Amino acid sequence: MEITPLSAQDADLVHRAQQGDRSAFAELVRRYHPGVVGVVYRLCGDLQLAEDAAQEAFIKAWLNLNTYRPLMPWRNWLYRIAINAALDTLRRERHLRSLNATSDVRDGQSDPQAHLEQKEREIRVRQTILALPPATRAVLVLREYGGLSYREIAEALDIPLGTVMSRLSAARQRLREQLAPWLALQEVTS
Amino acid sequence: MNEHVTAWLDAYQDGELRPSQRRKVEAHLAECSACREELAARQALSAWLRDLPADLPLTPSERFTAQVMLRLPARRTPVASTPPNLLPWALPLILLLAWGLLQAISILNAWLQLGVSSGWLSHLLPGLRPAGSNSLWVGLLSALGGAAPAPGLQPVLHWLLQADRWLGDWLGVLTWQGRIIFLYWLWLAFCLLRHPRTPSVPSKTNGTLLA
Repeated sequence: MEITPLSAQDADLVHRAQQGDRSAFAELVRRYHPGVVGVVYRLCGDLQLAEDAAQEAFIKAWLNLNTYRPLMPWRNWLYRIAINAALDTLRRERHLRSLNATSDVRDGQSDPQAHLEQKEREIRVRQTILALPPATRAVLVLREYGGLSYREIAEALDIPLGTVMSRLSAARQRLREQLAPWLALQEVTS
Repeated sequence: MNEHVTAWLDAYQDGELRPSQRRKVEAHLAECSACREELAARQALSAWLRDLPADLPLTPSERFTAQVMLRLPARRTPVASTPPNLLPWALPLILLLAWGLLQAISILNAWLQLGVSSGWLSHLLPGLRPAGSNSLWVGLLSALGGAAPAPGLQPVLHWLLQADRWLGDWLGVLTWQGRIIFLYWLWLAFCLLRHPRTPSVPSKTNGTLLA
């Protein structure tokens, strides 16, 4: 249950940004852009929406920098804002965009059959994750794709540690049920 | 350990168990094939999830950063390192103490008046003047000390008596609860005038969804 410390360089950037240094904040955006977009993408399943939500998150972070205290790792604080921004965006749009638009990420594979199976699996996994309730999904995404510890997830989402564990367990159980045929197929082929 | 450890497997897989718990789970796994299979299934699922393509065609970082920076407000207020403002906490305390002092004066005065009018206090302190006198406090001190107080103290004692009468006239009609409510309203008005609403809730734009 390790808490990721704020690196000295990040701490310096955050401190300077808190004093109003825009270039320091720009550096933080550059550093955390892929991580934030990646987590939000897993949450909402749409790359464009994920980048929009990530932009919103960084702007909110800038506006609320004076409330940030280094007791919480910067990454967790940012993820928390980003996940809430993504859920807000999803709520506004009231629908999930087509997954096909974002599923052709790995074009150019040599084996068309393998590529097709890979795509099908990706779509299935993504659909299953997106079918989870938002609160449960957020816990799963932060654990599996954000790499946060249970305690960090609890801090980021402002929920008790026990809730993190129960939601994560429920999410995994649901995924195992939904993806059972594909998981069984993988066991056979491997 | 004969019971299955299914409830612990997620935390075990994620490396979130304490060493003692982890040892118990490992001891159980060594002898329980059902739990081993359960763990293997969970690990397979996690591997599957993490195998989703990570190489997303992101907007290049420079462009993304530029887009964010263009949308940032011009300037935000830097963090102020001012010491905490104690006045909001001190003022109600001061008001409460002042109220308590005035109440004590009032009660003591009433008690003295009662004692003088009934005669038992005059009996104990013969120098005390009758009730209703403007210099009741002066008389009390004289009786206690055997001499009149210093001339400089007399105006203060006189003021105390006047203050008590003023309180009796203006606040006497209120109950003590009413006085507290009055002081509380006074405090609220002070706060509103001093601190206009500036919400600074940070990141949680919607607490109900995730909580």
